[in-house]
Amino acid sequence: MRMLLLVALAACTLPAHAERADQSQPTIIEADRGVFDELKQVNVVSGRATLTRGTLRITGERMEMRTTPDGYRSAVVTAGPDALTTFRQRRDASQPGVEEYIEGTAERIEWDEKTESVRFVNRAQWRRLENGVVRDEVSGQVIVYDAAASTYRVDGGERGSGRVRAVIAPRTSEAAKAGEPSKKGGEAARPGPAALRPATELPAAKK
Amino acid sequence: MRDRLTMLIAAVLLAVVTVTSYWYSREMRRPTSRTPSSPDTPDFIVDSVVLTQFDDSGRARYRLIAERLSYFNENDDAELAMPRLVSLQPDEPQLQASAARARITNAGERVLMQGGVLLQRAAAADRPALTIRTEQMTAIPDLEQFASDVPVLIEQGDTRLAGAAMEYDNLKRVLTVSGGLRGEMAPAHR
Repeated sequence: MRMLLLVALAACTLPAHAERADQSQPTIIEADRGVFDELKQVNVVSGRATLTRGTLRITGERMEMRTTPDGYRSAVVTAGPDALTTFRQRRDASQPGVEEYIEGTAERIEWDEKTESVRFVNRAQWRRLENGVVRDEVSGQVIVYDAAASTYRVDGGERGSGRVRAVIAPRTSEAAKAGEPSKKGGEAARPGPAALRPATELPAAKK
Repeated sequence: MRDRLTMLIAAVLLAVVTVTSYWYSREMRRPTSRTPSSPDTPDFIVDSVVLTQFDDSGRARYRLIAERLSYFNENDDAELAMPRLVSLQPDEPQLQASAARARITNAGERVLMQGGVLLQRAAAADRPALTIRTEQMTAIPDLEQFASDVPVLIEQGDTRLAGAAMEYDNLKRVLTVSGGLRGEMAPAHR
């Protein structure tokens, strides 16, 4: 039994979905080099590696990719020394005239095409932007963003070294239309329809 | 009188042997007057050639088909026009390599293929067919290794790869692409 002291664990539901059109887009990989091992069924690309699929874009130093028998891909993206991997994806507009993006950074990003989930591991940060303005912002040791279910979950980390910090914008349409940035500096969630609630289980944190 | 005749015959025979030995030793020491064949001039040319390579147990491993084979005695090299190399191993997916021309060096160990090089590996139950296109490729047929240091285009299933250079090991089934790798994979069918 490992000693996992969570400062906080939270889950939140978002109003819109990840860009559905991305699902029908090809996945583009760019890097300095790649090793494609048919026997081990693993492809490793490295050197300023990027993965794009429609509006989705992940960058890092090294990507380890696998393909399931039914053709879905997954990637474990790691960063170079003193760097972070990055993630960015547009979301289907929930309100007219509002362009929403999800952005995230972490030491490691795990992307799963089939479940449309993204895990940000170590020094994880996650943001939701509306027309370029940060509306929601979360940081923690592990953040799991489920694009299909439009939820994210945050794990504060071990031994209290990491604290979950979340700033959630109110979900009223007036606030969204006004495009006001959410007030920063709060340690807890702000009141609103999408209030934080404790999750019933941990994200599958790797030891 | 008779003894004299015998001695004379012996002396003549000895002289003949001495002169012949001397001439032969001189001939042996003289540099050969034969002009060496130029590396650019083949010693023989064969049209519509089919060569089959066998393994130790006598089973056919590879078949090489070419429109023309030019052989150079000087360095044991061979040049091929429109060569096509086909693997004949029944338990492995068929491997085919073709080009506009090729030069076989190191007694068949190394094949440098040039011009419209196409390397194809047939599909197997667990893997789709693999196609590699480039303008220049070095093949080591015995080790089933292929390398190119010029731009390559690779297709496998719904994946297309491009890079500045590549190495492919058909025994280990590992493909390495380097220099500005770009890969495009079709979306999974939902």
